[in-house]
Amino acid sequence: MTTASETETPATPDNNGTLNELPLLRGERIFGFWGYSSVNVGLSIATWAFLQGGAVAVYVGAKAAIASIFIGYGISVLMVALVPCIPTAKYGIEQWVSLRSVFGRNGARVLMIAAVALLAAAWNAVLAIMFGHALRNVSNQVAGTELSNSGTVVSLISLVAVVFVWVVLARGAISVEWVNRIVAPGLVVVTLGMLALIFTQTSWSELVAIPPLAPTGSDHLNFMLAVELNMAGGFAWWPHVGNLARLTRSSRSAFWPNMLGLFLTSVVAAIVGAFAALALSSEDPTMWMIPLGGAVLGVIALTFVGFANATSIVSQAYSSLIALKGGGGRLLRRVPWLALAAGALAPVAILVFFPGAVYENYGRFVSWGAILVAPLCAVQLVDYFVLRRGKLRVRDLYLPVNESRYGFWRGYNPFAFLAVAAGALTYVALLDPVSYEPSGVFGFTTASIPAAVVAAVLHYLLTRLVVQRAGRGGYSTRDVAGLDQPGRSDSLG
Amino acid sequence: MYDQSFHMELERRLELLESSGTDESFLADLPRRDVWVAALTLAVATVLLVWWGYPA
Repeated sequence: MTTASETETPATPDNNGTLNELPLLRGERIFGFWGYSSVNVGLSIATWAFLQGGAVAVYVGAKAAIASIFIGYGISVLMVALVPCIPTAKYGIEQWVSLRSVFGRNGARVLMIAAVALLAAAWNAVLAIMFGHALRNVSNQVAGTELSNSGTVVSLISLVAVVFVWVVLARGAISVEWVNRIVAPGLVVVTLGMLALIFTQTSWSELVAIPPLAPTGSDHLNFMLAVELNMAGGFAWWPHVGNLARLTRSSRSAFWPNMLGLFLTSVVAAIVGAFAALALSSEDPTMWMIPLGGAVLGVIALTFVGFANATSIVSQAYSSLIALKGGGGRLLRRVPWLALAAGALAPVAILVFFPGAVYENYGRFVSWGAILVAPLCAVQLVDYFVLRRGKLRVRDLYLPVNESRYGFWRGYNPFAFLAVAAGALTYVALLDPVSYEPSGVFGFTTASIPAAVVAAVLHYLLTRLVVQRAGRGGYSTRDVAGLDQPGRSDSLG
Repeated sequence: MYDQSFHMELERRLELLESSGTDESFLADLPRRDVWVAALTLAVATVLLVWWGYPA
């Protein structure tokens, strides 16, 4: 029996699988059930959970907020817990590498750059502006200034957050671990403290009687918009969790902690956010702390939440940089770490100068992510679990386009892109991403679910009718059957 | 240099993972039962929460 250690070479950045796209060996899988659960708790307790709760309170009251948050997050986190988590965990492969089997090597790269450049940049801009709002409120409270929420000063403070993040990122993974060790427990304390303070000032019966902040005319439509908003919130985890699940030691450890850590923690934090927004009549989390905690406690909590935003950006930017380094090809591999970090943060530095458009449209913005991710997740789900029966040829994921089963057409699978585009158009037809105006059907279907269904069905049909018949993509029975693990009748895949 | 050492390491890992004579392997599949339990729990909870929390 040969062990990995017998053939091991000294650890360097290019042979450490956790720092690049190499398939992981057993010794590099560091998370068991509880380890991955605690990481998920740290990820989901971030300040965007408060923003999510505030956005939900725009449409629904306390009881409907609890129901819609649970249902919306439940559906999308279940999907995200299956893909990308299960394939990345089973094979120890980087999340974007796993997508090469769906979109082709070049197609996956295009998606990765789009996701990193657009989704991560937009999320980071929201967090940076929230940092600006928090410190602006601290300044107004402590120094008696009268700074406005959309003024240049907020943009400049937000820009300071971006520069701070860039400096922290220079230290690499150590800084991410360090900030999360402090911030995650601190945010748990802030969340529980907020919940306690809300109920010292407002009884349950008073809370459920408070109307939503800015509902539409229909209660049913308000509820469905809240469910949609929360599904979109759950899909927002998709770019982040695959590379964490990759580090787990069993498929069960890759699946259940998403449902327990990511789902439950997000649900609790968003519910607390919704309660605070309703009780204080504001969807902006930076407006809650001082009225709830008083001048001293409120300023301390607000300052902490402000910096927690900056540390969330650090974690997210680090994850994006690893993806760019790993999947960006030779060109990006050679770009120095700090230059790449500056490039990834540059769009954020621009977006912070439009605080009104970015921060005050959180609900719309989170839906923009779902337009892409809901169909993307559905296409990968069908591709991996149905078309490939849960089996990948790992070597082919790394072979050049002209040698790999997953080469498709010059490294692109246009039919998978077509399925995602059809899903995205379905979403847009049901819920206008600019005006947030729902169509008549939306009240019965939401937007994410039909978008996912359309993309999944179309990908299945196009693959069976076109891609497989053309002999591309490794979908033939001979390619799919009899791979890797011995099949188990009770196994998924 | 980076590409060369990267590909050498990739080949070493793939050989270890593909060979039956090593203690390295891919993980076993997630049991179907786990997904059914999660999906059914979610479905039941959804029905109960809609009944309880749907705006009257």
